[in-house]
Amino acid sequence: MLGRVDIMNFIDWFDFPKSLSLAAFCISLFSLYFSGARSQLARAQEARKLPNLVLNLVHGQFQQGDAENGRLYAFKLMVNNRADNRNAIAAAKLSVTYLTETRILMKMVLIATDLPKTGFLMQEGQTLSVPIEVDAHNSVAGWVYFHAAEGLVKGKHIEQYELEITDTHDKVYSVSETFLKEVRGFEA
Amino acid sequence: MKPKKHQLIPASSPEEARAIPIVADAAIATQAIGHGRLVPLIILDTSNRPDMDEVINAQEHVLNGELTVQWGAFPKRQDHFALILCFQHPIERTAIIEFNISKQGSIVEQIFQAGAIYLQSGRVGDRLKHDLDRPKMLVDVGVTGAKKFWDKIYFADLVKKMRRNGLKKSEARVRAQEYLKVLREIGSLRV
Repeated sequence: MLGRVDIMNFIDWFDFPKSLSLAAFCISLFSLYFSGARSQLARAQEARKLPNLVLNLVHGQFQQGDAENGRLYAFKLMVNNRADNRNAIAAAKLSVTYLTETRILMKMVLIATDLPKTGFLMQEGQTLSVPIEVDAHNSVAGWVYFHAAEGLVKGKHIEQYELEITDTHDKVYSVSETFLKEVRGFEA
Repeated sequence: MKPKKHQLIPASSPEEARAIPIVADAAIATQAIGHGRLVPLIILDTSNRPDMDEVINAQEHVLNGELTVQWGAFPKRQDHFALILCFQHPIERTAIIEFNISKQGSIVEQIFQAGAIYLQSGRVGDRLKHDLDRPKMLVDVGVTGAKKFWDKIYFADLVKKMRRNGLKKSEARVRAQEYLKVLREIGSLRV
């Protein structure tokens, strides 16, 4: 009899619509949590697809030629692509901040040249010639050359060098260098 | 797309934001450059802008430079028209060249006609004939979309000038059109 009373009490107490709505609420909370986690994951995946190159300057130097040859800047770069998508380096520039003889601060922009001018020593290793493709989660390394005519650098007090690369999405990555080593010795 | 009414001009120093005065003008036509087109030349007074001497001289050492060209007008000086040059390679600098529409309108008209302009640095009193070998920078102005605005502004200025000389409005418009026609014919001469 007692058991029957308990069941009856329970049936009296049990409110089916309320319980159903409570269960639905719990399920919707779970669903909200999982959809939030899924959206976070999707956002993280999308963020990994965004262009994300990392520019590392391994080595930088210059060679001073005669009046005809001017000056050749050589930079060994390593570019890492941290994104899930392929990317490419569309342009490489060297900004040289300098003081003129009349003490005016100016900025000279040199564009990467394909091959070093004759009369300069070639560096050991691959020459990077823009555009350069960089696969997803991969790296490229090599030398980039910038030539400056004698008239552009003669008598200039150089303050800083800034190496800039631009990817195909117009995103600019840069690295600065204040001192560069001069390399002597030229090809015959 | 509707063109923007106002735009910021990149300037790294207050000097760059000031217009560079024009001290003289001339025109050069050679077969070697621009297929014999009559390209206007302006001599800029760079006594307060020695950086522009550097920009013009540096251009001699590179095959091709890079720059962006923009025409502009000033809300408070409606009788002026400006050429804004943002040099990018080999030297990064900005130059604003201001033209008085009444006095120097024909130079602007010729820049649009030739699609280019020579820039030379100098001082007050300098003329092209004084030193033909001074470094000159050829700026390819190209098509910027400013021509239709310029045509309206210049025509209105010519009409105003002719009305000041006693002509009726309708007559002044006819004379202004004739003047522009002759000016453009002269400007289109090639050597």
